[in-house]
Amino acid sequence: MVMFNHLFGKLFEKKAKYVHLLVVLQFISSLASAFFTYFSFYSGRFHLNLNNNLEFFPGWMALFASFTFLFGPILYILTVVQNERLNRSKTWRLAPISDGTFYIDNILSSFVSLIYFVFLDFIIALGLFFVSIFAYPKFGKNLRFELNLDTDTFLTFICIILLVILTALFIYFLVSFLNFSSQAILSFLPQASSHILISFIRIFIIIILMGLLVKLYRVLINSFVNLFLLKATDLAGLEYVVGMMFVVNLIMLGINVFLINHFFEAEEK
Amino acid sequence: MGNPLEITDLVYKKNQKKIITNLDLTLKPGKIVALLGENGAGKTTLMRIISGVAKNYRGTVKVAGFTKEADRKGHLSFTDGLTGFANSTKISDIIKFYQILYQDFNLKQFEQLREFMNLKPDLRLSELSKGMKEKLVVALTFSRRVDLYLLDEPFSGIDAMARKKIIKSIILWKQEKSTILVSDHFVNEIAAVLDEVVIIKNKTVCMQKSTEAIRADNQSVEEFYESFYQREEDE
Repeated sequence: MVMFNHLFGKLFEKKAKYVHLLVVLQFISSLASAFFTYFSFYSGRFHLNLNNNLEFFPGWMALFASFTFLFGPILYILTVVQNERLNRSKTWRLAPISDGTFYIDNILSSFVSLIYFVFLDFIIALGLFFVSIFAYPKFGKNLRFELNLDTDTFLTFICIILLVILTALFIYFLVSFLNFSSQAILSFLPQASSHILISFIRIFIIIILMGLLVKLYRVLINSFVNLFLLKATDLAGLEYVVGMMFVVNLIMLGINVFLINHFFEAEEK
Repeated sequence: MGNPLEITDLVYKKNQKKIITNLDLTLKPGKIVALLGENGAGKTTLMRIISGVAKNYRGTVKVAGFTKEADRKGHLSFTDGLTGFANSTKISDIIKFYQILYQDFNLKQFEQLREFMNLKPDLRLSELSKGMKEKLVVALTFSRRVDLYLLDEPFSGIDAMARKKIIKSIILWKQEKSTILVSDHFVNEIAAVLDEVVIIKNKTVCMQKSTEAIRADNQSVEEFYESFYQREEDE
């Protein structure tokens, strides 16, 4: 457990660098966008556009918040790529921990880095919100918060959050699975001399694996999950999808841990 | 604790090709052992299997009595190309990484080795030449207190003068009971510090002999290695 925590710390430290970089970029790009929305440059100087309904700081805050939906996916793609690089890295795989545990650590640190990104965005947006209130008291006075939380809405909200989390993890697992299994299958085939040929074979293997996964997924829905989860717990709709995703994620994690422990080698350098 | 290394009946296949077959090897504590063989003989693969980064092999590999890969990795130190770090990483950051990940990392020893190798801690990986990078790798590898050191061609990029100096000092850096398994093309340069020679040929260990026995036959290690290959070719 100690090694798991130490390794997690180092992996997170590495991934947090991307988070910081993207948050800074998001901050600067939202500021630049806000600036060019509220100011126009003509006749040799900047002029304030007075036809906007929002003041500058609230506008900046809104832009910053909306940019989360652009920079969040960018960070996600970066972590997907980084996960696979680290899985193959000899430097990291030499850590005195089993490869399966290393894999879990790697995925977990990526996931936590995503949460960290959302947290930083929230803090900055909150900061801009308070600046807006202080700078424009009218903005604060006009604010109205209404929270209608009945049990159904709350449950749906929780299910959506869980589904987003499980989908993010599923894509991590899926990419790893395709990487590990295609590499493992390649190592059983005769050596190809050309890199282009190897890449072509690998893409072919990945397509076949994707097809197999889709088939397996259908079988899983129609039989096991339907039988044991839906009927046993009487869940329906979103809860069912969440439960199914959870089971699928567990299976994918198990397969990936097996593949990295027994077949997926670190790079030679 | 068992021997630093015990391998029995090791078989490793990749891409439909047998790379190692029925390999047995035992190394005793406190030895410096050369792993010799032609290019592609399987020296690097053998080290990768020992360290647990190569997979899907048959046979038993024990490091200090441990067979589980996680335990093995904890009891050996393997030269690494540091490819897991970005080029902008400073030496001081790599030290922090080693300190956190390896409980047996000895900072004092590293500082001595770093000074010996003339490496400044604020240098970034991108600022290091191939030779300087290899010096750093050697310093990092020997800064861990382990039972087995695996050095895979560690001196190839280092200039001749520094190489001689480093090889002479190896004996001072290792602990008394630790064993070093080193693969290198500069047989004559490492010969002076060697206790044993292991030769890999035809995908297995075909010779393991002490340097004492080699010298008793009035041969140098290099002559022995060359004559071994000559003999095999003649046969």
